[in-house]
Amino acid sequence: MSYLPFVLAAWIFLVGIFGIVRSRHFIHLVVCLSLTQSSTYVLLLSIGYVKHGGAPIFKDVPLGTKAVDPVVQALTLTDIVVSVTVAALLLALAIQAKKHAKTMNPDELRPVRG
Amino acid sequence: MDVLVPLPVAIPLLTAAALTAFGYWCGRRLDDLIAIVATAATLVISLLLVFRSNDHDLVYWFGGWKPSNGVALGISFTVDPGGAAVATLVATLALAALVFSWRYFDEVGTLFPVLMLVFVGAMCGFALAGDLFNLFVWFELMSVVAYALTGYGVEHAGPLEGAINFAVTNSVGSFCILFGIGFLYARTGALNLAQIGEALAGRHADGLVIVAFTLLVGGFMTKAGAVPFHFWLSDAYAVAPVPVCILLAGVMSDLGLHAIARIYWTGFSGTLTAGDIRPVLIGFGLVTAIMGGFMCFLQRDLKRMLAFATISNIGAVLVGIALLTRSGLASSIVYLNTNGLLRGAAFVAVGILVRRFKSGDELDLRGRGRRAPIAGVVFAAAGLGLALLPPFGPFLANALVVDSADTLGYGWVPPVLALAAVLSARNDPPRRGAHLRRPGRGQGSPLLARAGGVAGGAHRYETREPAPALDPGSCARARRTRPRVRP
Repeated sequence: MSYLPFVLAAWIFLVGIFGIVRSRHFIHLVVCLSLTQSSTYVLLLSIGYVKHGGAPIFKDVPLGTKAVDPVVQALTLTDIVVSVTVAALLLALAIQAKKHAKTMNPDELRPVRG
Repeated sequence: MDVLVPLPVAIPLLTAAALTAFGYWCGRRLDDLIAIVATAATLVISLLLVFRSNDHDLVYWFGGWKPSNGVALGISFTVDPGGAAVATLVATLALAALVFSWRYFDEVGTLFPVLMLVFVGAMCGFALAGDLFNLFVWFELMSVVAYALTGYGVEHAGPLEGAINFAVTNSVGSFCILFGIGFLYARTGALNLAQIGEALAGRHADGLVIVAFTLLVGGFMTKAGAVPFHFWLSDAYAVAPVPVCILLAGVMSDLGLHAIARIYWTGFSGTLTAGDIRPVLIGFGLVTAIMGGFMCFLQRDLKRMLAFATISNIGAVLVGIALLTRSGLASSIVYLNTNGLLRGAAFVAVGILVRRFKSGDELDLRGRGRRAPIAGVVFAAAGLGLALLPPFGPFLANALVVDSADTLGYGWVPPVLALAAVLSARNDPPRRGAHLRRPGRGQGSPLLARAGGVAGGAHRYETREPAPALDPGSCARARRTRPRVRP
């Protein structure tokens, strides 16, 4: 088992967080968030990976054929759905920010505090 | 198998779907009424579940996919009295919020009751889910709905900013949870919490298990708004519509902590010894309680003040859980439920003030609260409850914490918690302002008034002077000569 996928997942996660922290534009922010989330896909898929394993479809194959873990693939799919929902919602909020507050910069949206 | 178990999730979600499809033709009042009836049904069923799960946990396997040979492939709901009580709290607060929103909003689309129903369903699912990945899915569903509800007033900059902060911070927290789930699955090959607990029991806790536990706890603490993940909470709760705040502050934050307790006791208690993690969690809890209380003390916006009071309470609940004893857990459950109701009540009172006087600022509202006496009384009562005074539930919870902490040699913890409670329970503003700064000598700095208010702590409630409202003449004078103090 190689460590590479785990290192890669950690790297994508950290780069994404860095992007979120430095972001000065809503679209950039949403893309960075999606990027960060993609590190979880890498992690989940690499956990279920089996060397030389096929797709986990067990029709017309002999019993005992090697296949990758279908559970983590299901998790990844759910994760992607979640990611799309959050991205859509955030983009909708970004449109409203442009429309009403006339800015795409998160720092300028900050209202005056008492 | 108990057929009632999936209903607290199924009823709100199905009603939400039906309202989305047909609500447009029903008209606003009918939509609201349907949502209220569905929430009331959820409340009754969750309450039934509390009593039924009293003797033994109820486990419901969806589609009848029961575990075979010790491997759980199916998805389960596991109902313990604590989880069912949280589901009941969710339904109670949602019912209050929906009834309150009947008059609170001038106009509100069909989508508002729909979102509230989905929120209720997701939170109940989160409280009852018995496997880790479903916990995550319910977590995400409730988070996404919460972002949408926080940003409901899209035409203002505040809600937009609050919702975006909330969404980004919580999403990062949820990635941490997912990482933790991935690591645990890699180690145990299981997603069901009970099966994970069985696989880990008696083994040495190695690096992977500790990292997984840390990631899970970190993710759920982000949801709960515990320090150091608290910064989104005040921004979001201060801008969300009041009916939403009732649910957000009343129960959603506490759900994160409830999840931590469940994950530890079901999954990790066999491998991580209590002594290893107790000091860390107690430390986080105390810092949260003090920080929240202190920030609450500095606020003048009522909603923001209550948001920080929420953070402070979260810290207290976390300390109860962090003791990792039976009475500590009991205290956290009592605390969570009673405090949730008290904070909900306080938010309703603030909502009434905001709706009537178009302001949630304590200096603006000074003295005007007399025209809303019931809101004032409710607010004061909630404040007394949060200050751990005896007739209210938090007092009992605190007694349990004191008892448990003493036995464990953490005798210094309760006084710190008491300080935090005193700081966070200073929320009686419209009236307090009136009696501390009378017209004529009302030019003192607000900070001074606050210092006076808090130095007495809970004591000041007893030494309050007779309300000037009893004398109509002085009341009218006070109203005429009210100075507009601004810092």
